[in-house]
Order: sequence, then structure tokens, then C-alpha cells
Amino acid sequence: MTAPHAQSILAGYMARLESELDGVSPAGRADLLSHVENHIAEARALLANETDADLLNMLDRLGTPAELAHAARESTSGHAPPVPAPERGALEVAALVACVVFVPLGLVLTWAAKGWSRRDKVTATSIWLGIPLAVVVATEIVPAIARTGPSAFHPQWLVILALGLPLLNPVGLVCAAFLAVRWRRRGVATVLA
Amino acid sequence: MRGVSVLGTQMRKGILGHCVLAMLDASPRYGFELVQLLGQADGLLTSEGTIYPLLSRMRGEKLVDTEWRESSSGPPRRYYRLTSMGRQALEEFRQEWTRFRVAVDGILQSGGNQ
Repeated sequence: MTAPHAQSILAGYMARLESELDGVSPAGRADLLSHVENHIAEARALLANETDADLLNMLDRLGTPAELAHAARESTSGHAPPVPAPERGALEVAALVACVVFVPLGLVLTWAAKGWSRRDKVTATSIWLGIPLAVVVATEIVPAIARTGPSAFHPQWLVILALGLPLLNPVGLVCAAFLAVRWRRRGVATVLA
Repeated sequence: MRGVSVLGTQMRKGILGHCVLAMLDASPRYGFELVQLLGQADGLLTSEGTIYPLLSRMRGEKLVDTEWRESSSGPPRRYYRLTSMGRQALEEFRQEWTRFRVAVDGILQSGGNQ
């Protein structure tokens, strides 16, 4: 025997549920509505002489439309692919080691690796080129020009600088330290994203 | 310190899915049947309907799959059964849960004193 107000009680519940499901994907929405309809049918089949109170109690145990919609949203967000682990490849380690031993090779590996952003790579390269250049300009070229005029500038300094750059281990250490810090931060940022 | 009800909610979230996997390990079951079984376990299911989004999620994660079967007492039923991934996840949970329970029980009983 059907409860006197079964139709309005159940239709009202389903309407509120549909309304609460705004923002849930169409598939998730259809799935939950189908589950709830089946649940109600199964629960009603167990009631020999259902009353309005029976139906209200059954819906109370089922949960409010807002609770179900909240669970559906949580479930949908759980479908997101797992956060990829930060890059911790052998190439990054090789790049850091190479920066200490032989800077040009280290920077080539750095540009090939995925553990740093383009900005980090440009910065590391600028450190390698910029520090020695600044030191030579500040300690040799500027004082020489100040003493004797532009004729004091000898292009061979640039050749010496170019040949000497790969051997400047202190600069390589600075590059490696910068890249190591940026690599770690990038990994942490990826995990927290 | 979080309230007991909040703590219970958080614990249920992590555990309920694995309890469902364990129930499906015994045999395939349909949604309402799972609700009734979980209802017998005190405190595991506060709102019966919240099990359904969980089942949908586990199906999406390929921990369970489904098949429709005719029912003698009403509309067709969607039965859930474990996949090999679900069985593996259940086995990992069994081991982890045992280790976790022993460790927590030990601390609760002894207060951390050896």
C-alpha cells in the first residue's frame, strides 16, 4: 500500500536533489540520481504498509540532498589525476655535478633537463657569463681605459675570458647552488599545487 | 584538537571505501545491499546515500566494475564486484591497517612507555 503523500514527498526530494547537483558533471549527476531512485525503490519494497512517516524516515537515513550533492562533488574532485611527482631525474643530478666540474657541460645538461623553468636556465647561464665578465670589466678594462683612454682596450682580454670561463669553478659552484635551490623549490611547488 | 565528530568524519572518509572493497571481496553486491550491510556496522555510514558517489568514484578508478542483473522483487540491480586493482588495493589496506592498528593500540594502552 502506497503512503498517502508518497508522490509529493518523493518528487520534492528528487527535485531538491537535482537542484543541489548544480555544478556536478552530467555523468556524476545521472549516476547519483539513478542510484537514489533505485535505493528508494528497494527501500519501499521492504515496507509492507508504508506511511508518510516511513518515507520521511527513509529519506532522512538516505541523507539530505545537500549532503548527497556534497559527497558527489567530493567524489568528482577525487577523479582528478594524481599530482605528478616533481622531476628528480638523473639528468638534473648530472647537470648539477657537471656545473661544478665543467660549467659549459653543466649548462648544456641544464637546458636539456626538465627540472628547471626556462627562466631558471636563463638565470644560470647569465650567472656563468655575467659574473666573470663583470669582474674583468670592473677590475681590468674600466681602470685601464680610465688610465690611458680607449686604446687600452685589448680584444685579447675577451679571448682570455672566453677560454678561462669553463675553468672558473667558483662560478660553476654558484650556478650549481642556484640550480639546486630552484630545483627543490620547483619540486615543492609542484607537490603543493 | 578536533572534535570527535570531525575526527570520525575524517576517519570514515579514509576507511569506508576499503570496507566496501572488503565486502565485495566476499561476493558481488548491489548498492542497497552494501548500504544495509554498512548500516549494521556502528558509525561507518552516517548518511546512507553518500555511499553512491563513493561507488561511482571507485568504478572510475577501476577498483570495481558493475553489471546489471534482473531482480525478482523489483527493478534490475547494479551489482558491484572487485577488479584485480581493487583486490590489490584491499590487500595493501589490510597490511597497512594491521600495522597501523597495532601501533595505535600500543600507544593508547601504554601511553608510549615501553
